[in-house]
Amino acid sequence: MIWTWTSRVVQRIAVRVPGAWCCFTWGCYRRTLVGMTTVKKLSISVPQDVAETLEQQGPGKASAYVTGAVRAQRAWEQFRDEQVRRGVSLTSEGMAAARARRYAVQAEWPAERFAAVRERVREHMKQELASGDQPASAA
Amino acid sequence: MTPGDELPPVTLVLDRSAMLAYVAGSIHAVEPVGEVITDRQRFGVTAVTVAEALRLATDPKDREDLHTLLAMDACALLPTWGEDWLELSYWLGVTSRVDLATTVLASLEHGAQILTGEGHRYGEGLPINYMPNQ
Repeated sequence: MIWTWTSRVVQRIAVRVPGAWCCFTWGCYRRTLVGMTTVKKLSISVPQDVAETLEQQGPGKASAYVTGAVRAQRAWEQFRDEQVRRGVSLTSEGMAAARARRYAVQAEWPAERFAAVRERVREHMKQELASGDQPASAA
Repeated sequence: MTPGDELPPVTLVLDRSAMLAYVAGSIHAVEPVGEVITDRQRFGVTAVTVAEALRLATDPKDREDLHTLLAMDACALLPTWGEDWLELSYWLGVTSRVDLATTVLASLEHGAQILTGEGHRYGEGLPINYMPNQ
C-alpha cells in the first residue's frame, strides 16, 4: 500500500500525477495537458508522516515522488501476481541471494568501466578497419 | 518536466538463455528479475533476443508467458542502433551469435549487467551475472 491509514491525523496534499491512471476515487482532480503527457491534479489525504515526507521533497517534487512510488509498487504487484499465476514461488532468501550477486557484479563495474570497454572496442575496430587486419580481442 | 518523465534505469539485461529460463519457471531467472523490480529498477531485453527466444519457445504457454513478461511495466524493450554496427560486428565476433552481441551492446549502453546461463559465450571482461545451477 502506498498510503496506509495508521493515523487519524491526516493532511490534504495536492499532487500532479500522469493521467493514465484514473484509479483515485476521492478528492478533486483537474486534467491538464503538458506537452504530450496528460497529468491530473489530485487532492488526497495522507497521514502526517507521509505529508512530511512529501513536503521534504522540495517545491514541485512531491508529484514526482508519488509517481515514482506508485509506479514502483505497481510494477512489483504486476510481477508478483504474474508469478502467482504461473505457480512460481519467490522466497526472501532467494531474492536476497540474487541481490547479493547483482551487487557484487555492480561493485566491480562502475560506470567508467562500461564506457572504457566501449571506447576500447571502438578504437580497436577503427584500427582494424584501417589496417585491414582480422578481428582480435580488444575487451 | 512532468512527474512521469523519468523512467527507472535498466540495470539487468536478460539474454536468450535467461529469457528461456524465465519462461521455464526457473527460480534462478525469476528471482533476479523480481529483485531488480523491488529495487525500483527495470530489466531489459533486446528486440533481437526476443525474436530469438520466441523462435525457440514453441509451447503456447511459454510464448504467452514471454508476452506477459515483455508487457510488464518494469521491462524495457531495447533497440540495437544502426550507428553501432562496428561495435555490433566486434561482439558478434566474440560471441558468435547476433542475439548475444545485441545483449552486450545493450549492457554497455545502459551500464547494466547481463543475466545469463551461458556466461562462457561472452569471453572475459564483461559484467556477467551468472544464473546458478544452469
